[in-house]
Amino acid sequence: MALVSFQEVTKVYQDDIRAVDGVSLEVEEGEFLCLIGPSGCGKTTLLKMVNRLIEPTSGKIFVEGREIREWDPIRLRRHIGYVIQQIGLFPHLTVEENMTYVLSIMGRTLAERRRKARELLTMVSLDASYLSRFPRELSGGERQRVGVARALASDPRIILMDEPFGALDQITREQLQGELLRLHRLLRKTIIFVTHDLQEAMKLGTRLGIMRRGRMLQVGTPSELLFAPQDPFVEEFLGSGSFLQTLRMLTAQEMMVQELPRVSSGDADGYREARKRSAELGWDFVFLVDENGKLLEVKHLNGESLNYPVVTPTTSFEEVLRRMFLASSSWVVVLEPGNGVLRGVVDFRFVCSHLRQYCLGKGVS
Amino acid sequence: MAFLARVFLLLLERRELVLTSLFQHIYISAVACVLIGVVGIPLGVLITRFRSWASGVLAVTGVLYTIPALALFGFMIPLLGIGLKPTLFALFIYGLLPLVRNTYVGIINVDPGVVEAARGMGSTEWQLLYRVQLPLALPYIVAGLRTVVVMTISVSTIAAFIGAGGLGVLIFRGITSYYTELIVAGSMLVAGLSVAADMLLGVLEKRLLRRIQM
Amino acid sequence: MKTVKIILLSVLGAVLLWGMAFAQGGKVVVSNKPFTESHILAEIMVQLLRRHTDLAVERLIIEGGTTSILHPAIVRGDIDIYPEYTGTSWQEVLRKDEVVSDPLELYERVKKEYEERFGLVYLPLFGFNNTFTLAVRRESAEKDNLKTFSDLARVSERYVFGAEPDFFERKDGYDNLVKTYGFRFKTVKQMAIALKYPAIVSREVDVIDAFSTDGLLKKFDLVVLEDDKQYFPSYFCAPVVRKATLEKYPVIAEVLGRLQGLITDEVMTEMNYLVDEELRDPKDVAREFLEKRGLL
Repeated sequence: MALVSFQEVTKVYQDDIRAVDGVSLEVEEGEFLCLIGPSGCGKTTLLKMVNRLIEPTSGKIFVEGREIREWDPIRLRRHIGYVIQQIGLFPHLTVEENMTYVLSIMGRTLAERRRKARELLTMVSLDASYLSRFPRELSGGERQRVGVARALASDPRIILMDEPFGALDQITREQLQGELLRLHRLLRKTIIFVTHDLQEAMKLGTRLGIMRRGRMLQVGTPSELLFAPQDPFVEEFLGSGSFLQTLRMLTAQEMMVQELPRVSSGDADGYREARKRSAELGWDFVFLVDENGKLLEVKHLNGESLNYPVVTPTTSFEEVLRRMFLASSSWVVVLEPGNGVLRGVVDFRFVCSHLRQYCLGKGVS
Repeated sequence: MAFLARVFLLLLERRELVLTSLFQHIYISAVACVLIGVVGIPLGVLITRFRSWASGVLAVTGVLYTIPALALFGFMIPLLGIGLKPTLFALFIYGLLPLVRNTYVGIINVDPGVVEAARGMGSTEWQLLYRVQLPLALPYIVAGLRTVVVMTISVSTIAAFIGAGGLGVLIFRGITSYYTELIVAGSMLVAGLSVAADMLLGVLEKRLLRRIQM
Repeated sequence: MKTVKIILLSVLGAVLLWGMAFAQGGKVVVSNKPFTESHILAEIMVQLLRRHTDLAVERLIIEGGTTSILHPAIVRGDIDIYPEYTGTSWQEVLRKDEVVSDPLELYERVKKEYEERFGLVYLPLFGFNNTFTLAVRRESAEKDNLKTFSDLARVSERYVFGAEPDFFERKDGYDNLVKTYGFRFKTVKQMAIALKYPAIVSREVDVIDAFSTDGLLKKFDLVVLEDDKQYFPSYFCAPVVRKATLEKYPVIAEVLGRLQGLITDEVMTEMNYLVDEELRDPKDVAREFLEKRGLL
């Protein structure tokens, strides 16, 4: 069931400006949906209608199955995480108090809040010494980490993010993007993320929604949008001026196969399943993993241990190809950075078939 | 030098009158300030919520502020008679603007990102005000309060003119009996009271600001 | 939460204090005008009342308490008794243009109107007539040979005139005086009552209006001129009391009535002089007066 559902949502302002024009969209649970488009396309307006900071003029929005007009706006907002570009940490409260703000307005006890604060800190990779510090003592990146932590405090299923990394420098932005991805995978939250940075959207989003002048032009995975654009603007926006440029923006996670022949050591039944799957994929090896999913060994069916090139889920496609060339391998393994969990495999043959489809679509034989 | 010595001697001699006037003055100023605070701060908050009223309210209190204090006292007499009532009323009207304006500006100037974050997280309007806006506007509000207190202590000298007592008694009495030492004695006490009140509020301000870590 | 409690407590405190301040009850308030003579008279009345009645007598000194403030105040009931002058009542309060030369007739007519219009009672007169005069420095009088107002009119172009605001407001004040005598003063200055004497001594002004019982006339060696055209009316003084207060406490009329005729021009001027020149406390001067008459 879609966690958030937009049905013909429209927002008209006094001067007859249609900030959002008949948008319909379903956001599935666990998705990372990026709303992207040029300035003024209505992406932020659409976002703010979810937590009723802006009220739609017409159309319906459903959150968790209930129409938002039936929700008490205060309860709705406490139920949804919200991160903004200006960060907006409360300067007069400590990091701890900032993070647990929503809990304190909901009346939770001090002990609960304390406990939650520590949890949240580790989630955003900050150590306990930060608890008693004040926002003014933190760097921009640290502040937005607190901002994200703050949004997670009430354990919401949905998190709204409005260009949260827009005010940060490039390096910090990339760091936080990586962390956000990690968190998304860890916590399985549904995230609606507004950005104007296409690269960011491609990197983070499981799906992208391209908007222009209030209308939702197309919603789809990065490769869907890239290889099967439904609107000339989408093509243009994704930069078909240089197809290759856009191709470079794709990441390993976009191109990888996820249903892998995995097996834990000593698991005879699992091994049989794995061999079957391997054959399906046209491979002759299986992946040995531990109980956490961490990759231990790539084992050829004849028992030999194979060497393999490694990339991360957010590695750009360009880099993936380079690794393939360097290792003279038609496949690379995608591991999660830090804990080495096996996420998928990028197989060159599947990439080729994608490309072939695209070229056919473009009338190139 | 000898003059100052005479002033101090005088204060000692007439200590009954001096003490009575001093306590009256403190009382009048304190009550007036409390009234101003109790009405002024909520009023300032109110017009941040009802912005269309803001310019009107600020304009009215601004005009009242420009009326010379003495005239204000004069106006009050036909309406409220003499003594404490018209005095407090005139002081109240006079001191309203600085506090209302400072409260209003303090709240308006809170970082809009902070306000949006607080709203977006599900704060009620009251929580937004109480937990975010007021603490952050506190420096302005306290500054406004300090202005009002010092001003009220000074203007309260006129209270004596309409029979409410206070240190103005010493000053007026000194004038009517050509007793310069008395005038100086009264003025010194008013000034001293002002300085003391300002210092006290300064300490309070520092404490408060430390608590909210600005 | 703590802040809210503090706020509520202070509001409560303020309200309580306010309430206390206005708690009236069973007391009589005596006030006076802000000059020495009025202070002394008020003191006399207060001490007399405290000695011979068991009323709670409160002395309220209104530093700006001219007739324009005292009259509305007594009508409202903020004060109960204050000493007033027949001439002042006739012109300023009753606003009559008519000139009544006979002092006693003036008194009776003022008394009647006060009771009918304001519910205020003019008790029997103290005895002195504190009317307006003009005063100049002794050396001015000697140099220009001034004895009467008309003499002054001759040399008025060289004189600067000073008086308190009241004087310019009153019907029998500046405007008509000038008309009657043809004064043509070089400059005219307004100032508070208390500042007139320093002004004439320092030569900022050369002639001031003065009251005939003014102790300061003696103190500053000023010469009083004769009102040869009988311009200024009479100003006999008496306590004015609220009728309602008298009805509640009739003893007031009896006690204050004992002062009738006791304070002559000479007595008043002397008492004024003691306070203004010898810097005696009006309380003491009043007490001595009463003790000497065996009233205390």
